[in-house]
Amino acid sequence: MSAAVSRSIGRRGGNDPRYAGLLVVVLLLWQAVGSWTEGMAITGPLTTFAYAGRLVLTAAFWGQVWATLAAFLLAFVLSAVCGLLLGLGARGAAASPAT
Amino acid sequence: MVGRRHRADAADIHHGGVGVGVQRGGWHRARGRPACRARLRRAIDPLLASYYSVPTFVFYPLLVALLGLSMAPLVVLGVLSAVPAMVISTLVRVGQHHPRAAQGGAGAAARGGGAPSSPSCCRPPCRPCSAAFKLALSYALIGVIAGEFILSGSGLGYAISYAYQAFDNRTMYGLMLFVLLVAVLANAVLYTWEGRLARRRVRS
Repeated sequence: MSAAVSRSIGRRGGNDPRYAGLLVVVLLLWQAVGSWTEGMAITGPLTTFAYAGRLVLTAAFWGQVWATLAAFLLAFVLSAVCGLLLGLGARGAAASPAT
Repeated sequence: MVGRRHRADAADIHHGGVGVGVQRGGWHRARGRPACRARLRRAIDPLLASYYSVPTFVFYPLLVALLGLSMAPLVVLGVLSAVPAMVISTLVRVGQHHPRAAQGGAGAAARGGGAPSSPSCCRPPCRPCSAAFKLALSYALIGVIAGEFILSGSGLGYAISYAYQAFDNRTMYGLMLFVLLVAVLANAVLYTWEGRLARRRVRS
């Protein structure tokens, strides 16, 4: 049973080769659409990756990232705590008798 | 006396429900009494079921007007987006592991019991929590990025919006790629945590 669970976890963790195949298909489609529209509607994956690589070297980019991550982490922690408490509280309500 | 109290609780729920109940101290009474909590749960269920039919982003301008153009309205928007998903997911997954809880208060009462007596039956399993966390993570990220996209002075959503309006495709897709990577990385962390929890459960 332990081996089955480990296999299942490993597969869900992204070790399945089908994920790699899906990723390649998505990248090929992206490149095809980028080439077809000549970068007007959508830039291809190679250009995007290269530009993103240059973008992460700028200080302004990390300022924007920090602003988003701070708000996101705070929202996530608050919603996780509140949601879990409310969910478990409502579960207790469901398990209790109604009169 | 007890009957009068029950009638008062029922009136709390019937008169527009939660707001009136909270205002009249109904929440404290609800916490104390399982029957009242069950009624509160039945009153809130339709709200949870139809919550996402109205996009939470419509309240963002109102939040900005109330809290100012800062991080606070973004956080509130993220919380408003993520909390119902977290609550619903916790309820559903706990209900799957806890048949009597899923049947609701009436079902439990019909079987002649209140809360389950076995502590192991009451204990919430780890998987529901991790599934709910993953949902909350996605919804919180969507809420924050969308809020920044609509109206903000900083952040990745703001930068994407700026690039979008300036027809700067390279910057826009570069930033979107980064947001995608952040989402994938955060989900990977949660998957790893879930896997560790599952392995620990198998061992114990």
